[in-house]
Order: sequence, then C-alpha cells, then structure tokens
Amino acid sequence: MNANPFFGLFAVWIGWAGGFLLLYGLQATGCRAGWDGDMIGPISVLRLLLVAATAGVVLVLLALWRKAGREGPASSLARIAGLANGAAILATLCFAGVLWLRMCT
Amino acid sequence: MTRRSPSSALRLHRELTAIWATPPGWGRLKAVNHTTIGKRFMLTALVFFAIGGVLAMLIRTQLATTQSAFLDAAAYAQVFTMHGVVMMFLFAIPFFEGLAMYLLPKMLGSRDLAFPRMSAYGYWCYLFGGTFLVGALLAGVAPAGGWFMYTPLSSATHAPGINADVWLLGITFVEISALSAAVEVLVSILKLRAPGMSLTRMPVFAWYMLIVAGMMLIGFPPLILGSILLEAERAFGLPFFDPVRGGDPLLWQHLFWLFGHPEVYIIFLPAAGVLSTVIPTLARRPLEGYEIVVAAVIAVAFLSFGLWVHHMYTVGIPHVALSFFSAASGLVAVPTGVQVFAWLATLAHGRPRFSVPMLHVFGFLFVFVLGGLTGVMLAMVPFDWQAHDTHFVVAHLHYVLVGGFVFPMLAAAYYWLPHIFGRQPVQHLSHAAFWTIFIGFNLTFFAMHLTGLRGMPRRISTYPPEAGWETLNLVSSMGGFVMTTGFALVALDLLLLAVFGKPFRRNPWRAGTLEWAMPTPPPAYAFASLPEVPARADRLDPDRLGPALAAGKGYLGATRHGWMEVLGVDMVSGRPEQLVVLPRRTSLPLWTALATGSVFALLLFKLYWLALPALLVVTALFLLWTRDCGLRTDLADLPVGHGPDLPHHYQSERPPSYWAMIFTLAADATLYASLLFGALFLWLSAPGWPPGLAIPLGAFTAAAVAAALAVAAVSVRSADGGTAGRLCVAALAYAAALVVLVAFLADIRGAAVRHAAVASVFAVTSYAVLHVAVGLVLSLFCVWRVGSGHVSARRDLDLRLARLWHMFTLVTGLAATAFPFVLNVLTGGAGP
Repeated sequence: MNANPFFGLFAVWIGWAGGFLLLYGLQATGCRAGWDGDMIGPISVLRLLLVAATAGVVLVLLALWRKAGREGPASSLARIAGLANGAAILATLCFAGVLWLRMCT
Repeated sequence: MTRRSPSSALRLHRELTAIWATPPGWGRLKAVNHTTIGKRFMLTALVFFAIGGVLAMLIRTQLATTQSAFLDAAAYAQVFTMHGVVMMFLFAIPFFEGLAMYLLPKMLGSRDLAFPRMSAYGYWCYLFGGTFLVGALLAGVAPAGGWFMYTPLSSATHAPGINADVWLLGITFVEISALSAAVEVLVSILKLRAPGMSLTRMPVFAWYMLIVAGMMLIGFPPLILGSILLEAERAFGLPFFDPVRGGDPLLWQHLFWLFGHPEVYIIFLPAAGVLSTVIPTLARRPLEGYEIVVAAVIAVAFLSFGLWVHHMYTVGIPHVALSFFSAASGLVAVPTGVQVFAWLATLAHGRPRFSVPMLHVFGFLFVFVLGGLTGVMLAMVPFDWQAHDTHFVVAHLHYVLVGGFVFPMLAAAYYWLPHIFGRQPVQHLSHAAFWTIFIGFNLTFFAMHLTGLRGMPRRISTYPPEAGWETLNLVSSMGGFVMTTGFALVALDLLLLAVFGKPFRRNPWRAGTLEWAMPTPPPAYAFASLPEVPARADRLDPDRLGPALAAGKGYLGATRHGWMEVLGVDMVSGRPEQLVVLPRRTSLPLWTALATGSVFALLLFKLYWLALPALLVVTALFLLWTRDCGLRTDLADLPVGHGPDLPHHYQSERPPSYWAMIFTLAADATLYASLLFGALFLWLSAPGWPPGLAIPLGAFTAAAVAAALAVAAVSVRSADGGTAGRLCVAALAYAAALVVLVAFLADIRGAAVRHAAVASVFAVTSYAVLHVAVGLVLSLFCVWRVGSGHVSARRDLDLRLARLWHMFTLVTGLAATAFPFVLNVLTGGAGP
C-alpha cells in the first residue's frame, strides 16, 4: 500500500492534536514549576514559552500542509486532503488565548 | 468468467448457500455471518432501548410532582444511572455497530467482514455484558453514581458494595465488542472492497464508518484504562484517585471524558452517515459536496478529541487552558454545520420524496440543530458555569443525541427494513408514530431547558414545592409518556411491516448503492459474484448489476473447496491484490465469550485465584480459533474470475490480519500513553506530591528485563531452518522477564497501596507483565505452528504477526523499565 495518501489526509490534523497536547502539558507544567511568576519585562516566562510553542506548532502544521500538498496528483483524494488540512490550520485559532488569558488561575 | 445459464446460477446459489448460510436450530449458535450478527446486534440493542425507555419513564414519574414518594433516593440513583448506561453503552453504540456490520460488506461489494468470528465474539460479549448490567439492576445492586461514575463517589469509601464494580467490570466487558468492532470495521473498509472501488469511490457511509472506527480505536482505551485503575483502587487499594494518598479524583474525569466526548461524535457520525446516504436517494440527486463532507467528518473527528474538558469547566482549570477547550467546542460546530448545509443543498437541488424516512430526516434537522445551538451556548465558559449540572444540560444532550441519533436511526429503519425483510411498509401507523414522538420529545425536553434555567439540578430525586419547577416537570413527564407511546407505535408499525408488508422486486428507493444489487432479504453470501466498480459507489445501477452478479458474471463467480472467499484490495486504489479465505462458522466465539464473562464475574465476586485459571481457559479457547487458519502447503496464485490470478491471503505480504494487528497495537499504545499521561498528571496536579516514601527503582529488574526483551525481539526473524530454536530462545527470554517482573511487583506491593506514585509504577509494570506474558504465549504458539507445518518461507504470516507484538513489547517494556527512574527524577530523587 502507498502510505502517502493517508499521510496527506491526516498529517496536519495529527500535528494539531500533538500541538494541543503539547500546549496543554506545557501550561500545566509551567504552572507547577512557577514559571508564571518569573518575568521577562512585563511578560511571564510561561506566556513567552506558550506563545513561542504556539508559533512553532503553527509553523510545523504549515510545513506539514505544504508537504502533504505535494503528495500525488490533483485527485479527489488530494482535494479532500487539502480541505481537511486547511481546516486543521484554521483550528489553531483554539490556541489564541495564550496571548492574553490568565495562565494559572 | 464463463457465462452461466439460469440453472447454473441457481446451482451457484445453492453451493454458496451451503458454504455461507447459518444452519437452523442449535446451529444458530455457530453463526458468524455479518447479516446474522448485524441483525442480532440491532435487535438486542432495541431490547436494551426499550429497557432504557422504561427507566426513563420511572424517572419522569418520580419527577412529575414535588416530594414524590414513588422511588426512594437510592433506587432513583440506580434508575437514572442505568438509564444513561443502557442508552449510551447498550443501545446507541451497539445499534450502529450492528447496522454497520449488516450494511458495510454489502455497500462495499464484499461477502462478509474481515473477521466474522470476531464479530460473533463481540456480539456475545455485548449480550452477556449487557445482561450482567441489567441483571444487577433487577437484583438491586446496579451502579448508582451516574453514568460517568465520578470518583470519589464511586470509590470504595463512598460506594462500598459491588454496585460500582458492576459498572467498571460490566462496561469493560461490553467494550470488548466495541473495540473488536472498531478493528473489524477499519480492516474491512480498507481491505475488503469490490475491485475498482478506490477510497474516493467508496459510498460516503463507508467514509463515516472508517473515521468512526478510528475514533473508537483511540477513544475507548482511556475509558478501559480508567475502569481498570478504579477497579484496582477499589479491589486492591492502589490509590490512583484518592487525594489523601497522592491520587486525584480529577484523573478519573480526564480519563472518562477523553472517551466520553468523542463518544458523542462516535454516536452521531454513523447517524450522519445514514443521512448522507438516505437524503441523496430520497432527493433523487447525488450528495452535494461529497469531498467537503468527507473533509468535514475528518475535522469533526479530530476536534472531538480536543473538547473533553468542556465537561469539566467548573473544576478549577486555569483560564488559558479553558480557552483551548472552549474554542475547540465552538469550532466543532463549523464542520458539523458544513454537513447540515450539504444535506440542505442536496434537498434544495433535488426532487425530494416526502416519504416516511424523510419525515424522520425532518425530525433530525429540527431537533439536532436546536441541540447544536444549545451546545454552542454550553461551549462558552461563562454560560456553562451558570448552567452546569442543571436540567438545561440534560435537555441539550437529549436534543443532540435523540436528534442526532434516534431520528436518523428511525429514518434508517424505514429505509433499510425493506432490505432486511424483503417487504415494503404499509404506512398505516408511520406518520402518526413520527408525529407522536416528535411532539412528545419536544414537550419533554424543551420544557426541561426552562427547568434548568430556573436552577433545577440534575440527579435529584425530589424537589420542594416552593422551587417553582413542578409545572414544567409535569409538562416534561406528560411529554415523556407521549413520546413513549410514539415509540410503541413505531415498534408496532415495524412489526406490521415485517409480517404484512408488500413484497417488492428490487431496489424500492431507486438507490445507487450496492446493497440493493442483491435479492432481498439478502442471502448469507450477499453477492453470488463480486462487482467491478467503475464509478463512485453511490451512483451505480443496482437494477442492472444485480442480475448479472447473481448469474456469476463478476469476480469469484464459482465455488472452490467449500472456501468462504472474498477479495482483498489495495487500500487506496481498490486494485485486487489477494484472495481472502474466511474461517468457517463455529461455536468457539460463544464459548470464548462465556469464558471471558466468567473472568469478569469472578473478578466481581473477588475470587481472584479462580479468575487466573479462567483467563488461561480464555487463552486456550482463543488458540483453538487458529485450528482452521493458515495453510500447510505453499499454493500457486489462484484464479478469481477476472484479471490476473491472486495469492491466497496467507501468502500475501499485507493480509487483513496484519492490519488488524497494527490497529490493535494502536489501541494498545493509546491505553499505554493514557497510563503514562495519568501518572504525569498526578505528579503535576495531585495533592501529596512528592511522595513521602522512596520510589522503588529496581535497577536489576530494569537491566534484566531490557536484556530479555531485546533477546526475544531479535530471536524472531524470517522463517528458515533455525526458526523453531530461535523461537524457543525468545520464549525462554520472555519467561525470565516474567519472573523478574512478577518478583518486582511482589516487592513493591506494600508501598503501592501507600502512595499513587508507587501505584503508578505498579500499574506500568503490570502492563509490561501482561505484554511479556502474551509474548511468551505467542512465541510458544509460533513454535507449534512451525512444528505443525504451517510455516515456510512463503507462509510466515504467523511469525510476522508475532514479530509486531514482540517489537511493541520491546518498546513499551523499555519505557516501563525506565519509568520509575523518570518519576524519581521528577519527584526530586527520593528513590533509593
């Protein structure tokens, strides 16, 4: 079996799910370690880490989207993958709260 | 393929019937055929639906008036708990499993599912497990902590009887059927399709079920793990959920809702698949936006795993984390809305027939969209904080589940019952039944929104007169009885259809899907020969295809050695690549399920030393399943009627069983990841950490086990003259690892009950013990298979399947040996 079509269909969403767990875990770990109280200027270390991690997740997803888009001809399956992957990129809106919401309370 | 005369077509029918049909009388206990098992699943689920409905009536009777003495609080708690348990676990999931089992092979142009005996085993586990749960209710020992069994209410301190154990063991027993069905459906859809049916030519129902089965594979293991951990706490005192000893009740909520929220979509998506199939046929127009609908289903599936905390908004989670789950909960409405608009567009562009299934489609649209809107309200944290645990939530979930599942399934019943019985509806009662349900449902649950907004909490058995909830509750109760009358009318209507319906020739709805290209009721073999699919499989012409296939003009239009033959295809292109020979009917699934049930019953009654031999009996029975699997000689490729000859699946590189092992290991890995997540969650969030006692490291254990697993993994390579010897080495290595691990468990047993950190080490090590034990059994099994002539250079499937297990055991075993050291570092190095 050629694995590429399945990679194209699910890769960006799997990346989104991994990013979700990474950010949730990082937030919980940071709160336990007290990083929210460590400040760099007006911003806490934890917020900086979460913003950086979010940006990293978005970049990885964009890279996966680009790679998935290169797989195979412009078939019906490729169009489905394109739509699904685009939706996964849009779903990173879920993480926007790292910019302003309270970190540990 | 040779052309057949009508008489030879009849002979083919007789030959295939002799091979595939279930014998009458006691022979029915040997049934493994997908049509039979699918019908049994659906019928049993409907019986449980009736039981759940009776429980709902008891609830509504109790709540109809203030200070009701109809049920006392303890009985009421059992009744509302069992209503939820029965409807979620014993009705909704098994019903769509049965529908999928019945329909999928027929829609995909195959003769059966990939593992018919596993379907039968799953059915018996479901039947016995469900009976176990309902029997507990009759005996007055049913679970009483709500269908989600929150700790500490369900912990041994607050629920000392066997009620909670009945839930934990009974649900785990029933979920065997869900996991086996998930693997079955995944492999069947990916591998057993008609030639030419590429992924994008699949009927859209198959896409839905493919994605739902994947969700089940990932969604159910956290629930099973949570049940095991809670049962271990209740039975042996391992304190995973006890905050006094380093546990955390919130761990249960995380594990439960990691399953519980995807579960809602696991229930909804098959119903949506039904709608995406039924609406285009009734609208006489292909589904609008097939591709965007498939993409939307993928999006719903992934988003549904990012919502679990929206059941936990009030437990004290920080704002930023709440925002992740709130945003995902709101976002999931978008791909769901895409599907709703696709259905509306199909109806708008088509020429809809206003038949009985269409009435239920209307019922779905009205009720489900309202439920979706209140869902978006509840996804918003501030609103949820106000409405949490009130009857507003009960109203919302019923609008979503009855709208999103019951109405579509009623549409499915009226649409496909002609297929099952070969008779069309007479429609004397159908309209009245629909409107009675529709009006009764909205009376019941619309009023319940208002009761909830007025502050009425869930799960209370009585309320004071001055609360001002009585009128609304009385309306809800009257509505509930109206709705029940409607369901009784549906039952009568369907009975009349089955007995007195009008016979028809073929394809009464003029559908374009393959299940109508066969006689109705369908023969056990489904297709006398298998079709070639040149276009999308919802735009075919069953009226033209049916007679040609019945005459044996497709693939496999002849019998051979009495084999139950189907074709295995490339997952993506649908190109035929192997001849899959299915195992014959047998009563082994029944006996294995009975033995499995006895293990759970012995655990329930705490007869642990008897449970171990029962587990060995289960293992022995499973090994007996392999008697008629495999080949003892190499076979040349076999003709299949069209195209090139194909290899027997046992000699092919990637047969269905290979993929089944891959998917099983994926579920297993999810359970393991959930276990490790649970331990890390306790380290992060539970009170009483770091533990006041040393974490046992077991350096010798780690080194010895790592070495033994590495030896076992490298000992099993491709078949040659030294295979049996190397397998014996692997078995010895596993035996050594087992001894060392069990000794380590015995050593830390005392400390494990004192703190959750050591209990976590105990649980991770127990996981490794189980896998090493299975690895030992598989090694010995392979020794026997080599000795009995089932293995050669071309026939090394048994070895390859076992090798997958060995590699998985190596990786997870190494992680298990490293786990105490990691935990020791995280907790500040308190270890010895």
